[in-house]
Amino acid sequence: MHIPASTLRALKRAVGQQNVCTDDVSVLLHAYDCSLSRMRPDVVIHLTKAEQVARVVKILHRHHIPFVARAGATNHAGSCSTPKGGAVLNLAALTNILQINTQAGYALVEPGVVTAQLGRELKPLGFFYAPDPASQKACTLGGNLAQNASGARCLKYGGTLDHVLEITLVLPDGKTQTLARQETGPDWVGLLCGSEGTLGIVTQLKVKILPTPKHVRTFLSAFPTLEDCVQTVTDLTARGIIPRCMEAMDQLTTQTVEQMAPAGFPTNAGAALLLELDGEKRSLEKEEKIVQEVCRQNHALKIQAAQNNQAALWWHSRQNAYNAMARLAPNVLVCDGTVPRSELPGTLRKVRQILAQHNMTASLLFHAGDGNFHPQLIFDERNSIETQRAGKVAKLILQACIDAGGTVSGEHGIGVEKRSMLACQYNQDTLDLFSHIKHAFDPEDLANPCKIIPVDYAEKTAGTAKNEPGKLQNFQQQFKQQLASEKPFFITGTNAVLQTQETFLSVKELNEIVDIDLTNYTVTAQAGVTLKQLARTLKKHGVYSVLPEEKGTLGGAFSSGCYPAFYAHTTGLQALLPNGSCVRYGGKLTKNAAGYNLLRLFAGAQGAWGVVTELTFKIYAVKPAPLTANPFVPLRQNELYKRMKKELDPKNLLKIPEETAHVQ
Amino acid sequence: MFNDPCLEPLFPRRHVEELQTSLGNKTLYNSVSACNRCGICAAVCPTYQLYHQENFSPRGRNQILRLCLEGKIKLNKENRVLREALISCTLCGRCNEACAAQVPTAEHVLEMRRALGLRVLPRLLQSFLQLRDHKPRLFSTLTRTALILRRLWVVKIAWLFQITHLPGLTWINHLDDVLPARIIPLAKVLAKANVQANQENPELIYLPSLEAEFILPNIALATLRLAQKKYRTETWQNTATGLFSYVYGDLRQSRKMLRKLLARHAKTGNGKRPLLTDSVDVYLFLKRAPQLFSGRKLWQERAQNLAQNLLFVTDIFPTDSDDKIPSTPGSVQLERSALFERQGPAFEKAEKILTTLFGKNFVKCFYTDADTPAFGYTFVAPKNATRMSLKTVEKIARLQTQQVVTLSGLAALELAYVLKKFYPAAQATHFVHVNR
Repeated sequence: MHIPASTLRALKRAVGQQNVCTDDVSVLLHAYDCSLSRMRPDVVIHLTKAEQVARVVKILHRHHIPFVARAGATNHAGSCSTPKGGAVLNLAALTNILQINTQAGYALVEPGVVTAQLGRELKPLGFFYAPDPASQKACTLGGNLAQNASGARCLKYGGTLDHVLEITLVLPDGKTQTLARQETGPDWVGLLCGSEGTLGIVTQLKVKILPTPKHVRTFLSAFPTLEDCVQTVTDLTARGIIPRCMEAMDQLTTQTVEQMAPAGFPTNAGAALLLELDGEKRSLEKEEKIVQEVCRQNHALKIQAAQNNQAALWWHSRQNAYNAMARLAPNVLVCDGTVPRSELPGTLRKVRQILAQHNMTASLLFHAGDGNFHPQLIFDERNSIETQRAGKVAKLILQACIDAGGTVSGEHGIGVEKRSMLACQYNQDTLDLFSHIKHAFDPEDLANPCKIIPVDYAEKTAGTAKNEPGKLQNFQQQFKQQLASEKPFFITGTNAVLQTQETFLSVKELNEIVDIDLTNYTVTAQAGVTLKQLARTLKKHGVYSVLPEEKGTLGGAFSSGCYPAFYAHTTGLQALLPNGSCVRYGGKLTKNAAGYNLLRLFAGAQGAWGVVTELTFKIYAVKPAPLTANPFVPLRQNELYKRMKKELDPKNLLKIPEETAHVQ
Repeated sequence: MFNDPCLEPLFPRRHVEELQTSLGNKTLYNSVSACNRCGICAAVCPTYQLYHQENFSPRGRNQILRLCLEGKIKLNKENRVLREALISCTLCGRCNEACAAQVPTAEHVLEMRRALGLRVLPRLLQSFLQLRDHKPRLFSTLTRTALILRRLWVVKIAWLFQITHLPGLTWINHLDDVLPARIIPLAKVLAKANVQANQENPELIYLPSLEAEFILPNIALATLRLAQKKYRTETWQNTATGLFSYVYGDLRQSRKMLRKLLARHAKTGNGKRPLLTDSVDVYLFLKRAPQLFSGRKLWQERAQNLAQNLLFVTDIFPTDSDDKIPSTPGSVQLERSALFERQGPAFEKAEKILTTLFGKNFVKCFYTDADTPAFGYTFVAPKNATRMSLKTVEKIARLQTQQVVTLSGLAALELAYVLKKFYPAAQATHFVHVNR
């Protein structure tokens, strides 16, 4: 696309002459990231101060020029590529760590700070930043937020989503918003995590930091088969053990890694499991015994506890797994499909079949605890047949993940490379909602365009949601009737909190607990299930949720904003929208980086843009401390709320309490 | 499998035909295609740390080469961005260490510089230093004359009359600042210390670096003393290795110089006599010398033979416990400033010796840590070099180091100058002086 000289002049005035580059070399050097996609931008703008971002975005918006923010450009999904041309905003120079507050447990950083750099600064203070993507030496915190990156420690500590407290966001029209997790209303920060810069550019982040655990124990176990290894992971979770990392590797991986960085990995065994526990000394001893017992039950050939600095050596080698594969061929295509843990053995069998059928070499390496596996396909992109084959195999592997109830991305995001696969994962209603979200934030489609949402997905999707039988079908009809009457109404559960006298639609008849999965440790329940009913039913099965046995419904606990800590435990949702569509998102997955995070859009939204009808969330074998309810506060109707409301409920039929309303 | 494109198909001898990498020999195209753009290299690249722009990152430089080979960018000397990207590279090799596929970015940059015919040093300095290859005697005479003139305040006078402020001459000021106030010729130093440069029935060849021979004769003296404890030594004075032409000049000239050295070595002691150098840059260059002769069996064998018989000062350093220096109040660290590499046997051995000597006072540093840009970079990109040196000083000050040990005389000179200016509490010394 042609960028007018007047626009370039305005940009140069905003950031300095030398920081606006249109020459061939600069432009071509910003046409790629770590993926296979190469798309040429028209101008590269190097930003040296965070304040410049809003100024530049305003200019670009005024001249309708698409833009893509980028820093480390280490992503594997083509999220930094520029299919429409336009501007690349290089944020890599925004590297200031503005504040580290160990007392309040946060660090205030700019988006260009390299993840490992923050770790290095925190180490002497006795703190650490939990998300640990494998590329942490080069990737940046801004990029981590954009992709919702996570790593080995995700199982216990969660991904970037769970560690960002506050962000300063420059919207695609150049307006600046500060969004904090403490505020009422939808979890905007959560929605922005993993949005790949399609909803705006983050210029400052406040991230959670944690005290370094004093006691850590690391184990390396060898198993005859990968299946035994995966079964061990499932059994450990069933016994209530949540290690901070559980990394599994197949034989090819251990052999290749041993050649590059010898660490004593069992190269003769079919699989190896690297497992790390942290916590109090006494509980560690107890957990250690259980780990050894479970490993032995699953035919472990060897169980070795790390001595001296052996753990560092093991982790160094594990982190070099990608590097080791990179030595075998010029290109490594890393898939990051994720499946429910119970589906891992079956999916791995399928993946091996696919690899054998297509004569491809790949190492299988995975964050076993969260069902996120990384087949690393090696090939040479200069050989077009080989490249096509790698792309085809990657798609087949991702399809296998979808078939197993999983997602096409656990932590790398969608970008341009996987967006076509999203049509296989989600139904049309869900993809429509993604489009609405994008449109609400960015009506002109300027911020990182052509990402996440598949092109012409209507023809390719897995179809619209099935007309659910029973109670949901009845409720859906009631909901549609109420909408057809065009009279505004509230969505309530037992109406215990709102106690409204006005028109309302209650979800209390949706009171079924659909599924209790004791392998993946998830429960799926309808929104009208009361918290008391839920607690009693779970107790019968010997499992527990974090929700207390109090008044109110599950839907209310999720939507009211009274239990913000509950959001992190939710993994899937079904909701009805004012246009009558039914969206589904997530499932029994520990992590999902495919598409916008709908869980966070509906969490605390108080039914402003739809009614949540079903939720899937984590349960535990050991009773966790129940959450305490915050007082109900009507949500803040900020700029983002207004945009989203206008987009999803233009007739304002779904009522929410006024901001000034006092609710018991 | 692929038709490997090359930068100058009509002039293949201007380039290294097969690069010697730690993962085997590779053509230029195969070597650069091994970069899968993961970006890990950027985190350790000193120029990327300054600019945070892709043009200044190893990944960017590799992509430039790949795009050139694939015909998507035209190598053009007049292209400012391209020129800056290539000139700014310090050739330090940190990226190579960090890279999963061990992509030798420094070699790629040199190949592009050669294709462009880029002369990155100031013209006068370049011509002067090239004399060492072409006319070593003239070079020697001119150097001595220049040093005498310097003692006669000619440089200061030129500075006063602003002659050295003229474009193309500013490097003289920096050179004058960096050089020691008084430079004594090597012959005098050896005579005063009663050390013979050439002994009878030699068992070892000492190849003094340019700086040891002309600027810092004490390095040559200390090296000879160390060597003569174990071996009868001969010294090959004023012998160019081809390193200067390899980095700053024409590869054909570099090959020519190297052939001279290889022929001389082959004739001496059946080509089995060990050859000692005091500069890590020369050591690393000679180790990779075989790659300059791909397809030429005789020369390649000779180069391999020389590489096998090559010794660095760390190899002859006594490591007996008697040499242990009583604990010093301040700490000591090893500066890894070098061309092409930051890890390997030379560095490991130096680190081991320093650990033995200084015990807990030796502070271990890593290849990722800041250090002085090597081998004349301060004359190539003075502004970048100053900023990098300041980072080095910052690191040294943070560790409260008193003594910084370098593995080349040039690095010691540069670092000593910066330390004197910004952190005089620390001193830079060449490795051979550690034992004194």
